[in-house]
Amino acid sequence: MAGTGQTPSRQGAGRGDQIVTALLFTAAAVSVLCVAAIFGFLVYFSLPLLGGDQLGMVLSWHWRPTSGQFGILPMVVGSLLLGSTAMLLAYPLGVLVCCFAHGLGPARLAAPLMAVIRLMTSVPTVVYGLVSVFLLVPLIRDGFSGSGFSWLAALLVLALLVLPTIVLVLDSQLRLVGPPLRLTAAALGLTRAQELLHLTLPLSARGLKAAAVLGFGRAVGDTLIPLMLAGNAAQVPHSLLSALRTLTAHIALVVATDSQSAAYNSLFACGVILFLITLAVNLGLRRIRSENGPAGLRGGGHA
Amino acid sequence: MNSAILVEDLSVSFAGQEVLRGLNLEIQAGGPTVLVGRSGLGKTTLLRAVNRLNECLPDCVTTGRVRLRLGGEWVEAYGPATVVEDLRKRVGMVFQTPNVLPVSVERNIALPLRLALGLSAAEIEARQEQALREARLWDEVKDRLAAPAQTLSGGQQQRLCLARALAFAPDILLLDEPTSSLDYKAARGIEDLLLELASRYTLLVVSHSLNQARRLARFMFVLREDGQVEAVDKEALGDKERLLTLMDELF
Ligand SMILES: Nc1ncnc2c1ncn2[C@@H]1O[C@H](COP(=O)(O)OP(=O)(O)OP(=O)(O)O)[C@@H](O)[C@H]1O
Ligand SMILES: [Mg+2]
Repeated sequence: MAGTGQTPSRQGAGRGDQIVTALLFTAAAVSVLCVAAIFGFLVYFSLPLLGGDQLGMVLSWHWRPTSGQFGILPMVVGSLLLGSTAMLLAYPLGVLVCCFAHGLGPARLAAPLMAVIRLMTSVPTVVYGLVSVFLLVPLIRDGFSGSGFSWLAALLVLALLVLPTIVLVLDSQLRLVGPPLRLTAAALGLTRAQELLHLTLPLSARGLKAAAVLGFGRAVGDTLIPLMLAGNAAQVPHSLLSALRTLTAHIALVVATDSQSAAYNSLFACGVILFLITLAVNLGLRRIRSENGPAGLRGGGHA
Repeated sequence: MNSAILVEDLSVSFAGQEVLRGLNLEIQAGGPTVLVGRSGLGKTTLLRAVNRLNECLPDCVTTGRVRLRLGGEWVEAYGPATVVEDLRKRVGMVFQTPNVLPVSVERNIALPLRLALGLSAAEIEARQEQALREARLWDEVKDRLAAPAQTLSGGQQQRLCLARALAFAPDILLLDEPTSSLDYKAARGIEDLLLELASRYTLLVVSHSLNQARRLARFMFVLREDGQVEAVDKEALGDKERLLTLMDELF
């Protein structure tokens, strides 16, 4: 790294600056390389699928490894259904929690509420799963019908799991946008609720979108909850009470049960699809950033 | 004489640090009343005590009594029956540093009017144009009403804030150095406006400039080191030399 010290533009920089720059550069490079390597690896291993009738076989609706059928489409549907329904529940709830903590609720409850939310992030996923197996699943079994291991069970717990992500992302945005508006809004005779609903939230559009995108990514990417609670039947669920299998749970199950190599190959397709979903999520996030530009100046555009 | 603001035994402290101590003050209706005093002594804090804005700041404790004459009636500012939002709608404030909302020029006035006063779109539009004209800003912004308010210059932003306060048609206007971001000519324009407004509203103006104070003040108070205010008597106000000596003592 000594070489960088000799370039004219770096002459003013001290030794410490150089080391920090080098470290940051290394960290960035390693992260980028890792992501690229994982994607390359996935694509490389799913390449065999592209030849012949393999692709048609994987992109079909039946997973029966014993009779040579390796369709993963039910799992794609399962992942998308579970992820989106969990978000449908968690997102409005998360926004409400944020609104409550930022002025709609009593001020003295805001701090304890956020403390609970932060605490929720430190609960291991497997604990949620385990507790739900003994509490929620029997409740669904007795209250409705079937085994209780269902889309419904998984979506409820998954919603709980992604709730803190949504709340904390939005909260950090509201903390940024809100305080500078406080005195002005108050001086104009606005109530806290008006301030929040008509100024702070609309000006936090970026955080609202980011919370949705990150929450969805988390919901689609989670493995343990669907694995433990969704019942894992490789089918397209016909109701909230039937079982489903997600891509993530599918990969875990197949790897754990030591199937034949054709089954293994299809997993790479699962991996690629998951990766693409995550990628779409990230690109969505990037687009939000570029749409809004610097937070301060462009606020006028949509408020 | 009829008064519009009565402050009794007002103390304000931030995090245990007392800024104003046992302050008594009587402000006449109309005015303008000019408040001067060295930087950091609590002029802004005193203005904020009138519209109860101090309570939006962390660790602030206010004691004492403030009574305001609003719409012909005396209102106990810190009384339990007083709805603070209603009070603030009728006591406009222009901040020391322009505090435009990060929305368009137009919405800076329209949004608060709609939310706080619940006015109709037509009424809002009429008030908006009138207020912008009064604040000597209309010609500069009439073609860019949809532009973000932060793209205005500092002085334009300050006049926008003044226009926003005027659009509320308040009973009392608190002006914290309303011309600090303006050049001499623009400042004179605003001063003319304030003198004109004094027939409609009660104006309490903080100023740092002796010349401005002389031009504006019908009444003048000095905030002292000990957190008390002292009235400047009528003769001193008219006598430039005496005022100069006073300001020398002050600053
Ligand atoms: N939000 C706050 N938190 C803590 N202290 C504060 C706060 N606002 C004001 N103060 C303190 O109160 C004192 C008076 O401040 P204030 O802004 O009222 O002064 P000022 O007379 O308006 O000064 P200037 O002429 O510079 O505007 C200062 O010592 C300041 O540090
Ligand atoms: Mg001040």
